[in-house]
Amino acid sequence: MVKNCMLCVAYLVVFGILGIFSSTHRELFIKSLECVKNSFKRRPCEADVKQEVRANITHSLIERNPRIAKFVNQYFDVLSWVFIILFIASTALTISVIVDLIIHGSCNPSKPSGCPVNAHQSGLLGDLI
Amino acid sequence: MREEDFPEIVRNYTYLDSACTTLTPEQVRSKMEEFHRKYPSCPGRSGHSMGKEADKEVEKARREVADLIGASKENICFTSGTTDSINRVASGLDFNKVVISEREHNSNLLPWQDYDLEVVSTGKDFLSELESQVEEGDLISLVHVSNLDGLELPIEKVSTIAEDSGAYFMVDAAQSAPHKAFSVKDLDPDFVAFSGHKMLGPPGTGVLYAAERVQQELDPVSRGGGAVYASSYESSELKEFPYKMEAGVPNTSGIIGLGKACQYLSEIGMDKVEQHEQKLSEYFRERIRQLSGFECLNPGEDGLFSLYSEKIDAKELALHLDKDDVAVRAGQHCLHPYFQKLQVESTARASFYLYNNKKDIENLFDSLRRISKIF
Repeated sequence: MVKNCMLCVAYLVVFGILGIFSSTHRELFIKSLECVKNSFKRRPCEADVKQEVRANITHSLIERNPRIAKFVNQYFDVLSWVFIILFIASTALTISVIVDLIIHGSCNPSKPSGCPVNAHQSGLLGDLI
Repeated sequence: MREEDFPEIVRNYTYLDSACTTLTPEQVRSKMEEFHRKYPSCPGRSGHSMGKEADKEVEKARREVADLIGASKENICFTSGTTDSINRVASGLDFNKVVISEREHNSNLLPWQDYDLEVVSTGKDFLSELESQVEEGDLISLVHVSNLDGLELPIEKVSTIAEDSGAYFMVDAAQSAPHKAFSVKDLDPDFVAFSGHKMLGPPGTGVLYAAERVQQELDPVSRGGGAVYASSYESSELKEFPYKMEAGVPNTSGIIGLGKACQYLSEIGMDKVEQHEQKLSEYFRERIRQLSGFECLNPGEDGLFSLYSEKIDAKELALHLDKDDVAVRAGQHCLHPYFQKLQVESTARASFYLYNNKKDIENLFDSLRRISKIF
């Protein structure tokens, strides 16, 4: 239950961000939210998000490459956590880069020449800075 | 069988969830539309021609339902479904004790939980255990055909036990009346409950059959318009069964649709429906024997099959099947206590009806074989 709840919270974060851009992921976000709420109330999840995500991924792989489908199915939890951590880390890095770009005008304030994106040169942020 | 009468979805999709709800044939849909187009009015109340037409159609539907189960139309009360029918009996009569089987759907368990309740196992000692529990004034309320695996309980013998002990007897025929010849003349129960949406009719329709001997003592749960001859500020004079049970304007189009569905089934013949499902079940058994990785609860029974696997959760299996356009239902099928006994988490249930064919079963097994590649 706790393990599933942890994964549900992680899905909540991931699908919360992806849901901004896609309605399919928004549905999964809502299901993750239900799942988290039910876990707190110690009730079973009506719609198990993990099962749905795993079925979506593995089913599309069955025809293309059954061996990969089998591998993903078998190590789904580990793979999920790896991708969730990568997703959260890359999202955090992206946010920090954007903040630096807005505040300092460069994604690498300590060494502006090392930054390929320069707000002043590219005009990305226009008159904001 | 008569696939052309059903929505196109049945030809493009493998629908194997008829134990939950069935598809409606064109004849039923047209008949319901006819009500809305030609006589959309109150049956049993309004004296104008449209009202009379609506009333005539409702009574015709009552006769069609009665004919299908060998009853008279005076025995047939329309409800919203099996659950409603059972609840009306639970609230409308007093019993000393209620005896049910371990395989009851929540609809035939929850209404009795305020009573002194005995649960008997459906094993080989079922009849003797039941007989030892039942006394005069009790109610035996049993599922006829299990919604989990199609197991048929020996209700003819139970009927004799009820009669000998002076107990009431109710049959939950939700999974039997739609699939086989079912006659109250042979079984002689006090009550029978079944749903319209499991027998080609629309959702929100159901039937409560009550034998003449219990009609008088059955109190209506809801009271109101249409159920009384007259009323004063202090009292009212109730109509006879079934009209005393049908207060308020009924689900007229639904009832008319249910009547048409029963007529449709009678025209085909319930024996033919049963034979068709037996053939499909035989083919299913032949195919499941060739497939490894999946188990089936009670594969010897006909009509519906509960699949499970140690390697994949049933809900996830159903999600995979859905991606191959195969519709089954996964879960505990409203049998939570029985699943605790079975020690199986959940099953994926495939159930057939007259519009299914061998190709549907082939589609199911093609998909299962594909899914088994990920184990």
